[in-house]
Amino acid sequence: MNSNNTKKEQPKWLRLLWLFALLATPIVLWLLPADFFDSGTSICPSYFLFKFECLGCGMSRAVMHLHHFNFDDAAYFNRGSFVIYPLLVIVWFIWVKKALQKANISLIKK
Amino acid sequence: MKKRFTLFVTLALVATLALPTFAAKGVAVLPAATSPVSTITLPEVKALPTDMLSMGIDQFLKLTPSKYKEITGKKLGIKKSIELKAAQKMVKKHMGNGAADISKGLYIVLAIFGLGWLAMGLMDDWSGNDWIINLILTVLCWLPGLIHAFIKMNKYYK
Repeated sequence: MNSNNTKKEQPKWLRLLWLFALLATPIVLWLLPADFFDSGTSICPSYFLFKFECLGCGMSRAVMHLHHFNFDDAAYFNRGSFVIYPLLVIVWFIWVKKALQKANISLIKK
Repeated sequence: MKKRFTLFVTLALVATLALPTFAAKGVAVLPAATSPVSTITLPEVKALPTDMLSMGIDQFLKLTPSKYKEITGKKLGIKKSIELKAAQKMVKKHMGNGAADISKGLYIVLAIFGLGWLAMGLMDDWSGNDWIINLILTVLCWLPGLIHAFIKMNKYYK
């Protein structure tokens, strides 16, 4: 069997674009108003079909408020955001680190 | 198979005909949407700050901690924000209970026999789309309709 397991490398511009998108996400969210996601209809199927709020309902709104340091609103929309938000930050750091490695950019000069 | 089907149809007919006898003896008088929150006698509501109690029910249900800060200039705090959410849920539940005119037991029996949509339709005066959704879900092999009927039970009963 002659299998080709080598991964096809992504072009550099795509890797840089991904890195840029990752770095821009928190900044864009900060630039948007904290109540940006507050209005509008819920897209959660649980609420849409049964008017029954699931554990994740209000998480986007809560995370957005927590991102703007509005702790009261975050607790109001979803208490779970106090657990989810730090995890999101950790995941974001891991992804940024990987993206930097893939783009061959080192923050520390050797 | 024929026997089972006949039995099911008979039971369904009996249950449908028996509905008026299970009609509610007294429907709770609910406060109007514009009346103040203080008219609702729930423990969760009584624990709220006094300036919230003077608000109309409609305004109270749309209240968020940031809106409260805009109105009063005071910060609500994390604990009070969670209490506000819980109170709003209870008020919503309380406001939705007025529709109940079928006993809880009969509702469950109807739901098990695949007639949850009938109970819902009768309680909502055939308005809204809950009963339609339940009918569609019941047609899809009974079980989804049963689950939907049980989830919706919270709307009609405490």
